[in-house]
Amino acid sequence: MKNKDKEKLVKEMTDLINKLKLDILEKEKILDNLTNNRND
Amino acid sequence: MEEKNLEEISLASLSLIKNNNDVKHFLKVQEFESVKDFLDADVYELLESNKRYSYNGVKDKIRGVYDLLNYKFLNKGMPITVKLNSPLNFDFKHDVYYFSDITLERLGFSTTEVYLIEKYIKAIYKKQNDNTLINILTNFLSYLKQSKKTSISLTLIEKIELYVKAYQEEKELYRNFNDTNLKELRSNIDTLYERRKSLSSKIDKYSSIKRGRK
Repeated sequence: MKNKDKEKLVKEMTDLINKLKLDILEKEKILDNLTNNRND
Repeated sequence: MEEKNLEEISLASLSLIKNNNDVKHFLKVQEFESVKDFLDADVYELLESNKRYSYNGVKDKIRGVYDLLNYKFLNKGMPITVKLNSPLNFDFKHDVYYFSDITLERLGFSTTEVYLIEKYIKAIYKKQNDNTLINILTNFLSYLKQSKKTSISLTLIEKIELYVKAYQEEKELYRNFNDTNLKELRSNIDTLYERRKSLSSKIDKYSSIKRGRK
């Protein structure tokens, strides 16, 4: 694989990883709120 | 509004476009009916009152805001707050480009925390040659650790550490890219997908329990 292609691939994959991490952060927050309010 | 008041505009008011998650919104912005639909009132007022910048279309108005802020950044180091908060970091320097779609707020920094970072940036701006986000945060982190200020929350330090670590890992990956770390990346993605799926199921479960109680 050419270096340029590799860079593109890594960029796409790291973008996806970053997006997933953000999704996870958001979902963790939602879950925290739900579990903290469970006994309200 | 006088020009000097720009410095008094709060961080929150610099969120230039509402509901913006990526650059696509910027490109679609011409579909908005009026500038007021997406600019915060004080930014709009600032733009309107600044005679040096007369722009016509909606897109031009946004460009005007950026020009104005960028002008201030170059001269006084002010509008870097926009870089920290807005996903529209089209003028990011190359080595922070890959994080251009991740803002501090989206990473979970609170307004107060972003304010602290902003305050620090203002204090150090003139001393630093490199004002890229990652350098600012790395320096800020060292400052926080050295100063041992009790008023600075541990969470803020942890969050910046996470961000800096993620950045360094990514840079390292670019440097030493090979088939092995390609496999690692794929495996990371699989793990993250699983984690997200598991969280979604838990959220569904707790949501239905909550609904059942009402």
